[in-house]
Amino acid sequence: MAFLMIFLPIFLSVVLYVVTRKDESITKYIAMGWFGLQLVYALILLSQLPSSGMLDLGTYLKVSEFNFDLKLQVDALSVVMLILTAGLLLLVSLASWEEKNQGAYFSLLVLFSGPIFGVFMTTNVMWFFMFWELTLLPMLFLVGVWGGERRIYAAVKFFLYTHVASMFMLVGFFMLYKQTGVWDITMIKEAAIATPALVWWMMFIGFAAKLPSFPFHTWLPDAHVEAPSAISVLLAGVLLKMGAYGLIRFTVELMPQTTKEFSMYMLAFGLATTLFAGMLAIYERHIKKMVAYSSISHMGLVVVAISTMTYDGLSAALFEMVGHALVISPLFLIAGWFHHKTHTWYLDEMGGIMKKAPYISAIFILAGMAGLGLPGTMGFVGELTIIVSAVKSFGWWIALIAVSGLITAGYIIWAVRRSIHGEISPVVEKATFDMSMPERVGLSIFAFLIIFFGIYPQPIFDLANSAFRFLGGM
Amino acid sequence: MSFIILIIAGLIVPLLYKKHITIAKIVTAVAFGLSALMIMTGNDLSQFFNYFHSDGSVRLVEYAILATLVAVSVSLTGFERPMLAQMLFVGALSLAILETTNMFVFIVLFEAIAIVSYVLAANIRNYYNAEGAIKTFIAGAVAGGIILLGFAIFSVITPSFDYASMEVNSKYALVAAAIMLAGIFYKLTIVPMHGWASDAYAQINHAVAAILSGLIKSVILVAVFKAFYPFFKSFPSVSVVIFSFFAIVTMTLANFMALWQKRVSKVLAYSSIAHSGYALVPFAAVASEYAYSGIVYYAIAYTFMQTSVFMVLNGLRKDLGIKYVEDLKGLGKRSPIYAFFLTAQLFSLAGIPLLAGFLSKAVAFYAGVDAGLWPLVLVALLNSALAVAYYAWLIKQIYFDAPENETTSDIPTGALIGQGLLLAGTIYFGIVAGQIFSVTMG
Amino acid sequence: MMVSSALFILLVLPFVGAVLAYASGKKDSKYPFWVAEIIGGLFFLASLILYFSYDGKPYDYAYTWIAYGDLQLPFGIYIDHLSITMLLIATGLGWVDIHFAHDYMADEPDQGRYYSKVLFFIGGMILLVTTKDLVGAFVGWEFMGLASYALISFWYYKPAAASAGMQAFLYTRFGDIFILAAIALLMYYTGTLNLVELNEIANSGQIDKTAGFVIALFIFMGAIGKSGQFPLYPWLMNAMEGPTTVSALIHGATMVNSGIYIVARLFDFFEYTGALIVVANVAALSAFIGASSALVQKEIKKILAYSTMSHLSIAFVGLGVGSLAAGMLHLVNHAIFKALLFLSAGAVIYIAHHVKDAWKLGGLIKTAPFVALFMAVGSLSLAGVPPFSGFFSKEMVVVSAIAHGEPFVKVFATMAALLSIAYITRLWLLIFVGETRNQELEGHMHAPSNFWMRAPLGVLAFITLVISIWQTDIVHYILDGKEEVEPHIAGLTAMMLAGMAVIFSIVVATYVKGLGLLEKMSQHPFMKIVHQVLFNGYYVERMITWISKNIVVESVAKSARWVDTHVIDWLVNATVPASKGVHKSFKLGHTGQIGSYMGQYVIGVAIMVVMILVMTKGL
Repeated sequence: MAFLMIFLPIFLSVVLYVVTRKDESITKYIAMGWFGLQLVYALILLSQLPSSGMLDLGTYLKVSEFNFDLKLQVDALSVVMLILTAGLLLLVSLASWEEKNQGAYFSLLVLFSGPIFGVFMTTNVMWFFMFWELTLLPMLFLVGVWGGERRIYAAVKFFLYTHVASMFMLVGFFMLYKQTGVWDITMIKEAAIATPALVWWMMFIGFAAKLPSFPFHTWLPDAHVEAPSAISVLLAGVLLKMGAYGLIRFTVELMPQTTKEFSMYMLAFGLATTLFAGMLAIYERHIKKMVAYSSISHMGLVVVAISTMTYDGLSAALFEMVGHALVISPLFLIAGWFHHKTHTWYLDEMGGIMKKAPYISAIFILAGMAGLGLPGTMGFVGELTIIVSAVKSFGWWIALIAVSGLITAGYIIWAVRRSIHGEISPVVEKATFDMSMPERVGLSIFAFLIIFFGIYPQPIFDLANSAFRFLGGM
Repeated sequence: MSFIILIIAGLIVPLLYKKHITIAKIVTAVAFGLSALMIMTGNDLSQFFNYFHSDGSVRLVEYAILATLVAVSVSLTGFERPMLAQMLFVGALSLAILETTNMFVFIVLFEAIAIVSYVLAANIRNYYNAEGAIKTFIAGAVAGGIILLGFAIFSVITPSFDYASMEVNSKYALVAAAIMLAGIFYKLTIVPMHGWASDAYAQINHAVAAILSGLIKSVILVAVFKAFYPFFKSFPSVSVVIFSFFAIVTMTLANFMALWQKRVSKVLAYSSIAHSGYALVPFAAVASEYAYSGIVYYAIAYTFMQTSVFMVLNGLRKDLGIKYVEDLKGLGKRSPIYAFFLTAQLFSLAGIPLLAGFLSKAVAFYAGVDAGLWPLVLVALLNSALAVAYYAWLIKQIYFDAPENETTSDIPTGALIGQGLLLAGTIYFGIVAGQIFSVTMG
Repeated sequence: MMVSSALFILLVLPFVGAVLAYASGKKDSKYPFWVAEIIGGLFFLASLILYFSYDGKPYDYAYTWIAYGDLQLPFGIYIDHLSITMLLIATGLGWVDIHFAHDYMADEPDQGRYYSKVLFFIGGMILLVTTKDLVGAFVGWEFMGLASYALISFWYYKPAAASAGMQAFLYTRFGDIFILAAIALLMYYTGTLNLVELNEIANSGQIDKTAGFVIALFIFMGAIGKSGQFPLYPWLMNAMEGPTTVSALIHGATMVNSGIYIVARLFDFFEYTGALIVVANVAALSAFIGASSALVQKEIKKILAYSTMSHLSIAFVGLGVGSLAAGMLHLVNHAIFKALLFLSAGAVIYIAHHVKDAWKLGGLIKTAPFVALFMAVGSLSLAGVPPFSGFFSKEMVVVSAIAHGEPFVKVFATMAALLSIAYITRLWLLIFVGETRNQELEGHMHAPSNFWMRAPLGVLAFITLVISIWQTDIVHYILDGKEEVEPHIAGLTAMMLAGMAVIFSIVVATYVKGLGLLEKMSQHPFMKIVHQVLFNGYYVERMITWISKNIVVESVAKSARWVDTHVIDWLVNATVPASKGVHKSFKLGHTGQIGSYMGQYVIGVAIMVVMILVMTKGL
């Protein structure tokens, strides 16, 4: 079953594309049906999870000489990611209701859903890498064909940049296999090795480019600006999490001793990312680029949390990963929608949108508030838990990271002031702000989740705790 | 036995061209089928001649070769039909050189393959083809001379030509082997012995280029590895340096040359040269037990993908007159099936997972890491990433751009079958790695 | 049973009520008011229930909100006398304010939005004063900040209001960040966030003094932001862009008290770590700034805003010099008379068709005698004239300041206290006395209704007079058994009253008879400078705006952008021309001439052989 979840969509997507050439509009229903199936599957996995350790889903394609079997196992961390992915795919489908060339578009989304499940479900390092790389392919097309003016530049930049970083990661993986003789994470863990620094850095480069961490972040703003909003959601909500997931699985779980040596470096990268990206967001007039920088800034917080290498820090990191996806998605969607209606990207050219689109503006403000860490939203829970963990692990000086809440407030509130509040500007005057019902429903679901888990976050933490319990007492 | 069948068929088929082309095709098909059968039943002439010996890995490569040849033959149309016999000869010689265990036979067969290459290249329809054919011939002639020089020196030193009992430990043997290899490198288009190929591959008929740059190169790779492996084994440090050097030089130069080319065929030509560079990594990694697996995997994957891209280009040139990169614009709409095959195989060349191109590189490069050569592997992987740039550029033209003229074309059935076969091979070996490992390391 | 219902009403109903108010507004614009009125009344009732049901021990419920890793973040309920006092003020004044808004906001089409935000705000305040831990307090704190932002920019389509809202949010957020950091530091240094436990830890000396000092200061930073102290006060003045009922409730009487509350709640902690000195000094400075700036303002609400700042500072001074009693008593009294003053100002604005400039009014005593009376009561209380409540608490603060405070605190606090009578008398006189300066209004004034507007004013006026009787009882109640030292300085009261009388006469004389003299004085260049400084709030706002614009945005952010574009991304993009260069150089070797190719070939062979010979050390 697990095997099908990964490989079926890869072949199904081609079939889907061919079959729906005549009537493109049914593609989205089939696609959503598939994603719904994936969500159900992920939830079933959730219910079957043991309280600690991994749930074995089978071994396929055995290659005994090279230890290369496709071993599928999940733990709480993987399952959270799977649920998040399937859920976001459904919401992305809702948000893409009016997209053109739906046949190809949704087929590509289905193609994407296979390898991404593979990334989170396999414990074989080589297969992990293969699925990791394969996810780039549909994204290349989705950005390159449905994107904005500079889409080719953005798509190729994104593809090449992360691909080059992955090459370093691959060499690191090779060296890991050479050293341990096994490709499977669970077995390597038991070997409890001290890896040479070189291997650690190779792998870190690969993940750092994906997260993205400063200074490997410059591909993201371009990719986000040019991608259609729904694809931005997928990029920010899922792909970036791959980087964090890889960081956790490989550096923290696999090479704890080496990672402990380098945890200060990781912390430095995380801090630099948060603050630098925050500053870039302040100076930005382009609404989607601003949200992109905000996204990078929050991933920096995730890196800080991971670098604590503690039970609580990693639980906080996982929560922030989920929170970030749910918060940044409506911001991207609405930013793109503003542009779509007013035909401008620049905040100072917009103004007074609240008068014409109160509900959507309110959701933007809500998501923005979550971004800056207002209590009552997921953003606050994430920031609070991370800062407490960070101070606990690194000492009093790291409390300075609270300033990120101020920086975010700066650009979010300023953006709201320029585009949503104030007098109605000429471009807003001319525009009509209608939004299809599925898109509205999608946004409302995001808003609901942001508040729900902001008030009652414990379910996610329970999952996170069971994933990282083995770190307890460190 | 298998190759003898093919030779016989190759002699019969030309007689049937003028009047009975269908019978010719049937004879070809039967020949291929029979030889596959022969391979399967292990009928390998080892009882008659001690020079031919096949094991599991060789058989697997032979199947791949035969499959590729069938795919190419099926796609041939019109004026290309005379090539059927040439396919048969290529097949025969390939099988033979794969199975041989004697250096003398190896050299003879190598020269034979070179001659068949000239014949293939001589499928001339225009001035361009002619230039390519001449370059092939001249390069081959020069190389032939150098190979024979090396062989001459070698034959003085060694008591026997059998792989198992050749003289490999003396310095002179190494020098001789080096000269032979230098000659052979022309066929493998290693820099700086690649000049002819950078022009010829682009100039000759694309179906011929498919065979030359794809199939024949794979065959030679495996055969050379088997032949010269004892030398590498006895002088490990020297072979590491030499092959690392040539590998890096080849891949880097070829990749950078490919970047701003205007003709599609030139891009593919340089891509082929770059792939030779990658193929040298397992040569450098002889200290690893995975080196042979790497080469075999590489050869099998490479033959499928490289043959396929040039065959598609052949079809595109015949039907749509595509020569330049701009001509590819909007191909996704104009000829979706061709575009699909081309894209899939380009991805395989680029090293996208789940396709044979990736796994073959992974295994080959892992052998490098296993032998302690991780810097070389890093350079190879970065080169591979660099190559993605021009593959992505081609794909961008195909899918992201609007078509400049509206001509469309449907893929002919023969080509469809052929491409399908090749793609099946690419995907199968992209997912199922066990097959190859069980025959090379089992 | 009663208690748990009361708790439910107080903790859950605000948010439910907010949703109800908003939803009902969609149906009919009359409904939201009634939803708010009823719920507001329920709040006050619940607070009373808690007050009367209190049986000596605080209501104490623990709850773990987030358990992650080995850490637990709590969110409990703890209601003692201090909480109940604050609850009574918040819910009582909140209800009065809602009641007043019936007429004041009658013309507003968006009633649902208004009342839901007001209810949400009250919920936040309730949360702040009833929680057990700093996390809960922070949540309530931020909820109020959100409501404040939403209500200041209620008329979001007006640029001034939108900007004021943004300013309020950002200034207070600056302070709030420090509280967030303090939470993390507290978890690190003490492992607890329980407000009561923190005081106990302080009393038993279990925390490092320097760490504690820093943490206390951080918390005070947040208080500075929320309560409009130096230097984070400019937002408070601009917050007057919001509806006056909002100014009354949030920026006069409840939210701005949060800062005082949190310091009072953690009083032992602050005392032990020695942070009270900082509190006192900052407060004294702020008190003076506020009072002196209020003297020259033109807009009614701005005068009241500066006055609020000044009086909050006075309460802080009380706390800062070690008298919890003085600070809290002044908080209570100030809340009541400030609400009264703001609502009276609202009545005035309502009457005069939303004219806000005091210089444009005048002579209103003829049209609105009751409003004038109630506002006079409020003013006297603010000025500190006995027998109104303001006198008692202000005297207590000044006495404590002189007894325990440093010279700076003594002087500035006393000056601020004395100046109150000056600016408030000026305000009252400008509005109500003399000739009507605004001719258009003559005959067009709105009469305020009895029930909706005059009644609340009357109630508040009554309370501010009558509560003087129970001043000591209130102090005892709040302190709840803690010891209190009441310093006594002979003759101080008499001196203060005398001083106030003098100032009063000067102001009356100037504003009733001597406006011409004032004109002449204000032409003097020195006076002009003084006036400018005071009018612009000592230019603190300009300075902060300048720093944020030119240093944060134009320097730091701009250079970050420059580095990002011209260094980091430049490197990435530079790979393209670089590779083109490499390509061109390689191309030189590919001439297309087979001869040169063969030449390269032979060279390659030679290289190979030479390499081998070198490596195997010659022939």
